[in-house]
Amino acid sequence: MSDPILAIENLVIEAGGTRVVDELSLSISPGEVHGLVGESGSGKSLTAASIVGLLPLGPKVTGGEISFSGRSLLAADDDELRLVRGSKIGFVFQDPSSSLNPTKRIWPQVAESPMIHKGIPAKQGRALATDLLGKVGVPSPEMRSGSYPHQLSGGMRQRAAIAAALSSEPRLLIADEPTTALDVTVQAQILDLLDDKVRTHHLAVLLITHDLGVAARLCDSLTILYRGRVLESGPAEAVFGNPQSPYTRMLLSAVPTLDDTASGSETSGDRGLSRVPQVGPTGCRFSARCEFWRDACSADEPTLTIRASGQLARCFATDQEGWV
Amino acid sequence: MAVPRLEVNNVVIDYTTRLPGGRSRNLRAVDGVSFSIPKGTTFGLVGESGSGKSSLARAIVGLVAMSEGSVALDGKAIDASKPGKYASRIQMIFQDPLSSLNPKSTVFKAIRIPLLLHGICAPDETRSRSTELLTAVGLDESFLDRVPRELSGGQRQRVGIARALAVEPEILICDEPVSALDVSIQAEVLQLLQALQTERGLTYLFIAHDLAVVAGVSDQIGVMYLGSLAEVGSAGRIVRQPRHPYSRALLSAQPVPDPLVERSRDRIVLHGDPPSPYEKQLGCPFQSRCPLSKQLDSPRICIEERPRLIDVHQSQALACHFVDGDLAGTDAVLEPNRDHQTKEK
Repeated sequence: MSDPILAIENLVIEAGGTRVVDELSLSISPGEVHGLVGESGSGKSLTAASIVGLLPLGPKVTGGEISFSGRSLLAADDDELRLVRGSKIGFVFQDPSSSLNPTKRIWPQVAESPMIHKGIPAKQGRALATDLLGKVGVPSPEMRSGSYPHQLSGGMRQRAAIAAALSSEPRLLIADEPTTALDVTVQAQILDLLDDKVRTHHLAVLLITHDLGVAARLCDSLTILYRGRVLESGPAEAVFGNPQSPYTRMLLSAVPTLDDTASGSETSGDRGLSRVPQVGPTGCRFSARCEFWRDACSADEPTLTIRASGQLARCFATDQEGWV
Repeated sequence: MAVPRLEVNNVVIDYTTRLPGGRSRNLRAVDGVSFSIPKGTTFGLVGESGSGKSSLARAIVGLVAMSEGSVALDGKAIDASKPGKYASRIQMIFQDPLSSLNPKSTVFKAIRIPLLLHGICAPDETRSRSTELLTAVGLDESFLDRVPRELSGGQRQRVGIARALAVEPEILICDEPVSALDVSIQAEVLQLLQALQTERGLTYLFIAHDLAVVAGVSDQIGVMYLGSLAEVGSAGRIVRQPRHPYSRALLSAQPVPDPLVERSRDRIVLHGDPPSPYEKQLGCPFQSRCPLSKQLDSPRICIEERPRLIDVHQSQALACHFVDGDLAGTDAVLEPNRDHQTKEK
């Protein structure tokens, strides 16, 4: 395996005195899709934002290291970060209508990065944008490149946003819930497109998603986050096939699938919402919702231990005794 | 067969948008949809954005006007001019509980108002009645004096359900009740809805864009595309033996949380986007994206004639000129539009 293009080590992000991301480590190699999976509030989007220095006001990186092709991004100055954001790392966000400027035509937005960072003249920029739009499957790209965002459908806008992210041929693409706002049939198109770009361009992708189905479709490896803590990480086959964290297991069983048809579909995890998860300062964060809870879990937090080749998990229950 | 609890007959909903210069144009959001829901069962309506499923839900509770068609409760047509009259029998749960609850009023107030309005209990009993309702949805008395922002998403949705139950309705229209929630919370809310149905004999119209969610709770499923039903049938038939090309594509697009399955499966990926609902469609609404029609070299019948729902099984009907590549029973196509409600299962 080649050297990682992105390596995050023990990243800590604090907001208002609490650690919203707590000692997160992950690495991505070229051609690899790594999924950062968690529910809302788990810190996955903050992690992505911290990579390129785009954290919102409030949260701050207080520990750890982020390196991109061997260079520290946390130590980088504004100019260097601008260059990285503009041409080395591409971004695709959840909602294409808020990431595209509604008052500008599509082509200057798609070709913005090469025009600014490589000094490509406007005429060439339009040709480049048209070409890129065609490559991401926008029909009649000549016409669409002159349209405004509101004239495109949601799926088409997301294609344009992907074209813009790929315009400067980045080596890493950060995709933050890229298909969450789309219909499933359009989602399937966009996932195919991303898959194709990864395989043909040897692109590294950090895919942030709450949808395990989407993660299963694209990811080679995964990190499962819960309230800022990595509870499990490893190759996709291992994490899905033999989950070692009760949280991963719960997430997997909570995903509605077509196999459970009406009445008697069994979904686990109901422990009453009225019970607010109470996490002791030193205990396992998931213990309040965990069906394998034991006294040790409230007192101490387990460490990440190796479970299989490349697979790590943080759990006392499965570490010592295996599944009950 | 017993009279269905809720019957939707050939409902058409039009919206008029005003354009600059005093002109206006018509958008047909729902184009002749009919189905019926037997008492105590769940009818799931799936479809993508713009398919008209929410418009239909709103029309049933009287929030938008129908241009044509009717809705019947226990066989009696609803008087569309008096939606308030039926409020105690049909209630609705919305997608985003934060926007359907008043941010400034407490949970108690939200539940108390329908109790008083419909004279369910005396004013001095509202607090104990509200507590009972909260208990029924898995919360407790301590939530009565909280405001929505002090609740988690799942808790808010539970309050939304408690408020809907306050008037002791027979029918709940659930419009994307779990799509704003995390998966683990989704599962809990779905379980709650199912438990309440069993306890109280409620009838549900359950609307979602996620076929897997709908499949898990529904007895019957209707698949909507661009304002009409593409296919309707028992949940088992729709999930295991979908016949309409759109239902098949929808099923195939559903991601499965298993990388081995995901990598090996043959997916039907549709090309393009649904056509604009402003453009009048003569033929099949799905024709422009239909892989089957394309495979058959876009036959004229698909472009020129709108397919009607035809029964292909005792609990499955679909609107397609071709099924499994054959012309779907030519006689059937030429028959006048039959009542296609799903028969006794």
